[in-house]
Amino acid sequence: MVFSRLFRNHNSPDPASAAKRLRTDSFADALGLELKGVVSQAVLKELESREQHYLSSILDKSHFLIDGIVITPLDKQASESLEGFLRVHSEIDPEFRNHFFRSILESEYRSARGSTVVVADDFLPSIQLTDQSFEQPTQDETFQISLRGRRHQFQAQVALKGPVAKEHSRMPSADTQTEPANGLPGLPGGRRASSSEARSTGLILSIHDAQGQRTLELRSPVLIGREPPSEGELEGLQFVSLHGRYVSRRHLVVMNVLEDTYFFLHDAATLSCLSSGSQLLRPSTIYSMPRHSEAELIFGMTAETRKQATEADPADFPRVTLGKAMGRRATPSSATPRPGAV
Amino acid sequence: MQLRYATSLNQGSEGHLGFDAFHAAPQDKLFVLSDGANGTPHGGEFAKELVRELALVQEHPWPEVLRDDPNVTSDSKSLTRKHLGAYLYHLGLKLESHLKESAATVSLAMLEQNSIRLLGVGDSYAGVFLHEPKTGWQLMHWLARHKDPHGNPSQLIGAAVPIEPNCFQADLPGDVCVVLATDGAGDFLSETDFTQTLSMIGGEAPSPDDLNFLSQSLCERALRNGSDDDISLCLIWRRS
Repeated sequence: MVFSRLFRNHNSPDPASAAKRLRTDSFADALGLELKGVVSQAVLKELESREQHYLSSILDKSHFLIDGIVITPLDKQASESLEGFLRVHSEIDPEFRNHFFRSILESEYRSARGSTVVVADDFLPSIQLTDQSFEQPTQDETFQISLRGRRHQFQAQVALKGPVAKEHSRMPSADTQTEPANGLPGLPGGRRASSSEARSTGLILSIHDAQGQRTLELRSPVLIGREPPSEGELEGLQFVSLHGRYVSRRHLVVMNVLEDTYFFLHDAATLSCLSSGSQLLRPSTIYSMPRHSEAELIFGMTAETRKQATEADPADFPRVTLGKAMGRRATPSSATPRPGAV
Repeated sequence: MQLRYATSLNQGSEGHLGFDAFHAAPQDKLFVLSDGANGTPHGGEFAKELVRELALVQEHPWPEVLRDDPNVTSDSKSLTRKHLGAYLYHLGLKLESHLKESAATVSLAMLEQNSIRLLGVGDSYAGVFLHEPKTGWQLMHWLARHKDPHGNPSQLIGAAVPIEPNCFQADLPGDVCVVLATDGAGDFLSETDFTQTLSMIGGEAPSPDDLNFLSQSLCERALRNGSDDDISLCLIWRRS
């Protein structure tokens, strides 16, 4: 008896919840269909405006990538229903938004001229609310819509990038050489390191600051700054104190990953840093040191002062040269040397 | 004459410290690519200043040397090359006076209505591809490069060595494509890579976007072929 009741309950949900789920499914289907339509139109419009700049022979061997989509609800009801739908499902599945927008995209779009668009791996969907998204149609408008038929609830804008050669865009799955590391903007592709390369590596820092010149050999990761943080704050970082006028309390982080060395401005850095390539380091960007080479960094340099970089006083703008110590010193012989007189 | 170009600079090294620099003076049909020696303290900055200096053609007499009559005698040519070398040597010294111990290569192209002139110092690449309706794109000439037995550049602008630039000039009407590339690109690309890529242009006139795609594709190919250096490449297409 109990079993049959359970069995009946399992197979025949109560009519109220079944109807509710049916309504939800129906809403999701209608929403998906509407969005598919506006996104398709937006993709093809953008594709046609771009493809005219390229020879058809290039379009044949390449494709564009959908980099991002911006969906704009066109009235208050559409805004509320879309936001509500995404919010409820995101509470269950935090990745729902991405999954949903990927599901409304086709695997490939093709223009009449034959150029194609596929979805980029790092594609980013977003919903943008404008003034229009908060407007409610008047009774007159509602009446006119009922006479004229369906009204568009959404608008889509698509950002394409490329074209990229088809052979190259397939490359990451076959060979990880160019696959960007997750969450690390500016990192070059993860190379497969040999076992000998994968061994733990150290850093050599040649410092020229207000206290003169010195060379330190340290284990990665290293935090360079003006004032040493407390032990608790270090969290495994080695701190190097730099004495100079234009040095932030926490300025630069240097770390080795396998055989490569990366560095980036600390989140708390308020002052800038200039590389030997005369490049001003940007916040939230990770830089890699050229292999088998060294990188010279000038602390405190700004775009305005960079012209005087070579004459800058190390007491104001300290210099740090980063090098690798892998059981041996960085191999300057494998960097391009300056020919000497014979 | 139609002249279009595109360049991909310091590719394959996003986040690296770019040591390559490029400058174009299309009004003078002049294009310069330089690769700063990454074993020197200010290689990248040196390359940037060098290309700017070389592209300011009005201020220097050397382009006149490059524009020299192609029918000059061999003695005169040798003299021309010597003068050019002396000019580049002194320009190197001038830059090295504030960018100490630094040096860079240079690959330079001048494209006239019916002729091409190339100049190179160091181990960067400069070459000319020619389009024939029957055979498609074919390599016409790669400029010789200065390399020592260890594979390092034997001459660089800014180094304390005599400069004898490699030069090439030829009368070439029709469709041509000049390639300027740093060793990070050129060492990892074959002649077939270039001819296959240029075959996408065929006999048509490419837009700057087309050339940009082609130069980017070549850089990506060099990266895939194992280059871990700064990868820079410039394609200049000319129809006389």
